[in-house]
Amino acid sequence: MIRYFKWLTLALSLVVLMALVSACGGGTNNSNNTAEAGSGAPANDGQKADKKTYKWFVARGVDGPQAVTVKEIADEFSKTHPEFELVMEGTGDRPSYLQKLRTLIASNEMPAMFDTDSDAYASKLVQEGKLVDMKKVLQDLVKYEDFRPIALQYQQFADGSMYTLPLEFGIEVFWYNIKMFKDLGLETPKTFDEFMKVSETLKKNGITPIAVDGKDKWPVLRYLAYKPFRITGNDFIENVKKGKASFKDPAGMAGIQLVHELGTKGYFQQGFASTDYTAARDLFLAGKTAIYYMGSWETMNFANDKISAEMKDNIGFFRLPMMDGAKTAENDYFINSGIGVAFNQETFDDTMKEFVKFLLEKYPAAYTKKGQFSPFNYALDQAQGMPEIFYKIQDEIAKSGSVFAVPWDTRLDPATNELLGNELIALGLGAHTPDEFAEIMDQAIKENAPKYFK
Amino acid sequence: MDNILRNHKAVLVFLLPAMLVYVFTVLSPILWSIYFSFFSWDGVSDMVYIGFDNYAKILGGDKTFWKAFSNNLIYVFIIVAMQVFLGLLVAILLTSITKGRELFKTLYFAPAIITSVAIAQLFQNIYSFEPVGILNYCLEQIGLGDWSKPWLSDLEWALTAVSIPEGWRFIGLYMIILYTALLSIPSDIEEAARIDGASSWNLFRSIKMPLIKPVLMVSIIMATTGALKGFDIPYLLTNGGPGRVTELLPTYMYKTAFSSLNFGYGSAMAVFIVIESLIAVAFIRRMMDSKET
Amino acid sequence: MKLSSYSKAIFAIISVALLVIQIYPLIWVFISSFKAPTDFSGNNPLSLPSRFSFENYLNVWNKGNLGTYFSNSLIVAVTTIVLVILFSAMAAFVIEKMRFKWSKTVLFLFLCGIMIPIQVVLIPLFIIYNKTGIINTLTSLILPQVGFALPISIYLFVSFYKYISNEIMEAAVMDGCGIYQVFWRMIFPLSRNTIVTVVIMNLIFIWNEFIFANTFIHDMKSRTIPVGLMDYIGQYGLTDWGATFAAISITTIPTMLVYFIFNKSVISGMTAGATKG
Repeated sequence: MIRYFKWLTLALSLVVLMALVSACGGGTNNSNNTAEAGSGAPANDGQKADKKTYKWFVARGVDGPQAVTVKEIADEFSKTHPEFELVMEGTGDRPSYLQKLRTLIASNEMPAMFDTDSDAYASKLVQEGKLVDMKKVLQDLVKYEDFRPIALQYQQFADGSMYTLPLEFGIEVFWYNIKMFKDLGLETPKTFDEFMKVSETLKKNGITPIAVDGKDKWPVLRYLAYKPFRITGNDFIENVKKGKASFKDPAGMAGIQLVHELGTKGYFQQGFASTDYTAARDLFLAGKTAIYYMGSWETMNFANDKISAEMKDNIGFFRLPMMDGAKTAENDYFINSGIGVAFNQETFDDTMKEFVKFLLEKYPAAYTKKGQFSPFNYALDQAQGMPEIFYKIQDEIAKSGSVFAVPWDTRLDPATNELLGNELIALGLGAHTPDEFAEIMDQAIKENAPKYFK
Repeated sequence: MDNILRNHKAVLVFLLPAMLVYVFTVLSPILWSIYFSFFSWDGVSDMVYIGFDNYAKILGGDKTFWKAFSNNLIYVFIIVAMQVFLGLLVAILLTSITKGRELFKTLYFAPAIITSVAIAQLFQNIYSFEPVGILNYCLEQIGLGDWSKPWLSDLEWALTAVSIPEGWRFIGLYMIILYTALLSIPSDIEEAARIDGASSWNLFRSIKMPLIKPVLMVSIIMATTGALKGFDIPYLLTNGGPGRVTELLPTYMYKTAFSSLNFGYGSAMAVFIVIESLIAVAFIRRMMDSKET
Repeated sequence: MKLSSYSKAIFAIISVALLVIQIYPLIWVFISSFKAPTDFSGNNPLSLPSRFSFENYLNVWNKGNLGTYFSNSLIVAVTTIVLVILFSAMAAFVIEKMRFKWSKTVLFLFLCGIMIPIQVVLIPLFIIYNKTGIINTLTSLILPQVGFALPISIYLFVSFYKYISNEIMEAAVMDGCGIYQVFWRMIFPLSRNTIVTVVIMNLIFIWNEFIFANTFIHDMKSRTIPVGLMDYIGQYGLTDWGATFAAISITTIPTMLVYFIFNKSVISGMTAGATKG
């Protein structure tokens, strides 16, 4: 008898507890600036109700230089504005981030700030009036001219409007192992034909030519986009995403052939489909592969003080190769200002505006000192004592052209994107012939594009 | 007495809580799935009624869907084979052991109590190719280095590779079910057969097997329905990749709804999965009935 | 089985080999949780840590939210279990013992639930939760888990009640007990063994539940352990396996302890769930 009374008391107290928990959770439902005190995060206990918590849902890792810089600036801002608090939250790799973000938004819990590319999904959010017009904000704050033009262009939608704030800036290059090239008497390739020859020579000599992160899919997607960019600029992707061009067009097939060849000839490392970001980089840094394509945001990881003795002064880089009949110039390649930060219209109040202003003033210097390239017109001189490779890339950035290749995953609709990622890996593994792949993609676009592009 | 047991108010008080939760979380969602499956909805814009289009898409040759369906069958087959046959093997071995049976049982069973997330992370390390994982390392050590491969991104092996963890973790469960059945065979039957000069193998094949057949049957059925529900590990290990090699119906449904933002089509797939499961129920009921008669 | 000593030896070797396959991976996770990051990129995954360090554990404990995850898991598991026990014991009582003309139908309805894969309710529950604001709360995890645990639990209670004779109930009624007293004072306390079975059978599944938690919970402060284990990977970079294994070890050790202490009831509880389902 006593036993079941114990059970019952326990049950009742738990039901009450549960009601409390759900009440708190329910309260924070539609906006993220409500006070979250008492709902389980001990740090917030005892805070007054006028404390506003803004959530930033981060795609780039909460330990990454952008997030750390913003957090430092936010903490400084909180000192003068005690009502303001920025909370950062991140989750897993990019695909699971995107899935989580979309789930959040579909459940009316859009965070105050979140990372997004100016992709078809973001444009849908803009249509629904959910995002803050960043172009207008920057113009109002007279900050628009402080940015590198390409950094802002990259964030723009095709119609020139801009809803995301860039926090980073990078060019993408092929990093290579200087010693391996020298030993085999190889020159850095200027054309794709040379690129294939270099790969072949490396392979013949028992060296895996290229390390690529296949798990996150986008690095392989870059390979698909190289040749179409050389042949048509960005016209191909802008047309094909709406079904106005076909993957069977020469530009599309050239890209498909390249991935098929690199994959099936074993020029990518074995098992590239399940290699993640860090593992791919480590392959290159451990001297197990000769070439690694990645953005300049990795520069500091290639600096001498970070790498093993054998790799010191052994890392060089070359630009995206050329080809006959190329429409884009040698110094035109993938340049981007990274995934941008979007602001939720609903929570963009005066405090938030103040914070953005403060952030824009502090960010360039704070961020660049971390050995990063900022989207602002801001450079460090030799006296700052940065590693040699940092200055090399800084020079290359100064020389880069005005046309830049756009990443395809920021252009296609979400459904096609999701399919493309999977099928592209299958293409690289030789599960599809180039023609089959083109057919699958055309089919997917025909089905999905009309829902996103009118 | 009868009056008390016919107390309608009490029936309501006792039955309602369970009924409400069950209807809200299990039955009504299935009806809602049917409803949503007639719409196209991306989670942001308004829902659009599209009639039977989603079903037409399934039946009209969504290749990925049917690929996922056939993958699912292979996945179920591998798991059932591992759980029931390896389970049986271990159970037989266990009966031959004289010391430490309890300890063996406890240890064999241990993987079943670990969360699938941890299992998936563990197997990622077992299958890893770069840096070299446990499996590939062992192959190298025993001189089978040629066999080592990136298991999770190999077109031929990936499906097997994602099926094994799910099979592996519950071998212990079926081992115990079958072990209990083997123990319950009366020892005088065995004695009698021995006196007649039956060898161990004969004894097992013609006496023990028929006796544990009903339990074996139940095990197969349980493993099948369990495997049909399997989702976590494939989702976490490869999420359907590379290409569509390890795509299962549940992972495809999940991605269609929550990554491609096609909630309507995802719901249509959910309806398909329910129908598939109900067919399984009917099938199982028939098996059970024919067994009893 | 009576076997020659020769084949006995072979059997023993095979058993031990299978045991190694079954148990070594778990030990490996534990050992690896003491490894330094450089040990993971090495060429021998089976090697022992180059030096035993508690660094991974410190990292996980200082930076992580394991404590929050742990208490969330605990709230979800305990609430779910209590509700499952109460609801299924009561419902089974109506179905088996009371004169209720729909009891066959109700039982059938519940039993159908055993075969329904949980993934199919994700989309509709997600949409319903959104509209009602339950999404992102622990309630959103508790409700469907209670729903899906009910069928098998009700089944187990029904099978047990079959063995309670009506005479003793009648005797209680003679003594002036009403229907509620009969249930609370007699039937429910009598079902102690069934309650234990139901608790154990469900506890492990609920504790390890991943898919609802992954779909319905957005905030870090409401995450449960299984989803929390995944966040570690992202948060500390994809290759910080040391921290991941440390997190797995920390969160698994309590389960393991419970398992090794109560292993007989855990095993019988879980097999009961499987065979009777």
